Amino acid sequence: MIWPVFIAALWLAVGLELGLRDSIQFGPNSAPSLTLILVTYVALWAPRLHALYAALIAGVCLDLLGAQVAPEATASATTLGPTALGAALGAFTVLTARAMVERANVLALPAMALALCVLTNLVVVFCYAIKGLYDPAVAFNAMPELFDRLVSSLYTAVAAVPVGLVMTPLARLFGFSTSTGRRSRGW
Amino acid sequence: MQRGPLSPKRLLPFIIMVLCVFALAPSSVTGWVENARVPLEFVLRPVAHPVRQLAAKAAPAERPSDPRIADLQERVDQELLLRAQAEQRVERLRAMVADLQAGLTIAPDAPARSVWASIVGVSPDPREGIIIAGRGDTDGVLAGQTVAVARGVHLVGRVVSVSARSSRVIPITHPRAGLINAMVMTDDPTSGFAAQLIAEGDGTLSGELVASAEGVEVGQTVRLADDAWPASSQMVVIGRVTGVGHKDNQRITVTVRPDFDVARVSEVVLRIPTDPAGAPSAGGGAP
Repeated sequence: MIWPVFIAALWLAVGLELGLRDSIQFGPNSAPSLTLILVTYVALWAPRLHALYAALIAGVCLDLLGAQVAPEATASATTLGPTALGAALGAFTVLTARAMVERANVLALPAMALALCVLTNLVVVFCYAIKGLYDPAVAFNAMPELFDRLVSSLYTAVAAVPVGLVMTPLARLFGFSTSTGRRSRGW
Repeated sequence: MQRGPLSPKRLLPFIIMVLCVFALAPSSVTGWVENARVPLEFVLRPVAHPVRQLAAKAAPAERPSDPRIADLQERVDQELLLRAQAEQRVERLRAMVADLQAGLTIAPDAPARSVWASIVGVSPDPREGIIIAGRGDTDGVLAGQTVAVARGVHLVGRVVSVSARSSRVIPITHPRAGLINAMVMTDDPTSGFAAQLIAEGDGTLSGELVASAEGVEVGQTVRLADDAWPASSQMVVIGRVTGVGHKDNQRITVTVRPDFDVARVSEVVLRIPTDPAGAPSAGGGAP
């Protein structure tokens, strides 16, 4: 994978997510994640180690930009890790499943994005639910969060269809090998 | 593949372990990671800000109306704000005099200065509901003590965290903004009924009137009257009553919708107390 291209794509995806999120959100609490679609795309095409590091980097970006508002809404806390770990687990799952997937198929990216998002959100909810037990700065209600995040995951999968139509032809730009007989190796 | 103790493959489990520790460590221990957000937001701003402005132009936060009526309404709102604040100041001074006479110490009113700020983005997770204003620590913004308003009198939300060049605002229409004590202003601008409002998550707030109230109608202005919020923000407009209902216990419920879609504003004015000692403490109680 050509890392500068991935970093530029990540910059664009996270920037668009920050700027557009409330314009494309569905209901008060659900929005697609362009960043997680990018992570899924990379996990579908890139070498294993590249995909895992890409997921960690994207997850760290999302973690740093997020914040949990404390009770009374006078402060907020940023937690580094939940999204990064979730995205890495999701990417690992996609890496495991991609041998069974026709990557160029228009539905491959949405299906894998759904799996990756669900896993990412499960890890995020798990981390915050645990943390909420002893950290007064985190006010977290797991069940509504799970529902909202499931809707967000479905919405991300829907958004992955048009994004996939744009991204799949760009595989060579990222340095991904599009032939099935040859595998990229090495860092 | 590079081999050796620092090869990417060997580093990966170590990085994941570190992230696990960070993910579960209390926020008081890992609070310093927020500093890493400053360069990240700086790098992302060239994409997020123009996209946000374009989106705001395509779907303005202000509810559409005749521009002349909107202008007149804005002037009326400004005048009513000044009047309501003056009334409240008089009441506070009266109370202060009474308390001083009783030998109690009263914190003086906290004066505030206004700083214009562009909204440069939102948090990627809609459940957090945070909007990011392009002013921060270097402009004197204080977390928990600074409020964001639109058009000078319409409450947008409260700043919950500040970094060097940006600050995060939780809009009043987000459920995590918590309970807000407000005053439903009746036809007589000097009086009103106290209400406790909570965001419904659909852009409105709702709540019960604290006392049995008569004369509450759709269209009446609702203003902030909450001691847990900074003094400089008292009596700013939360929105207008869009629904009035009655509960079984004879109490009146109101639904309030802000005049602005506060989660989608493109610019705000931050009202920063110039005397932070006079501002309410975090977690201050309702009156």
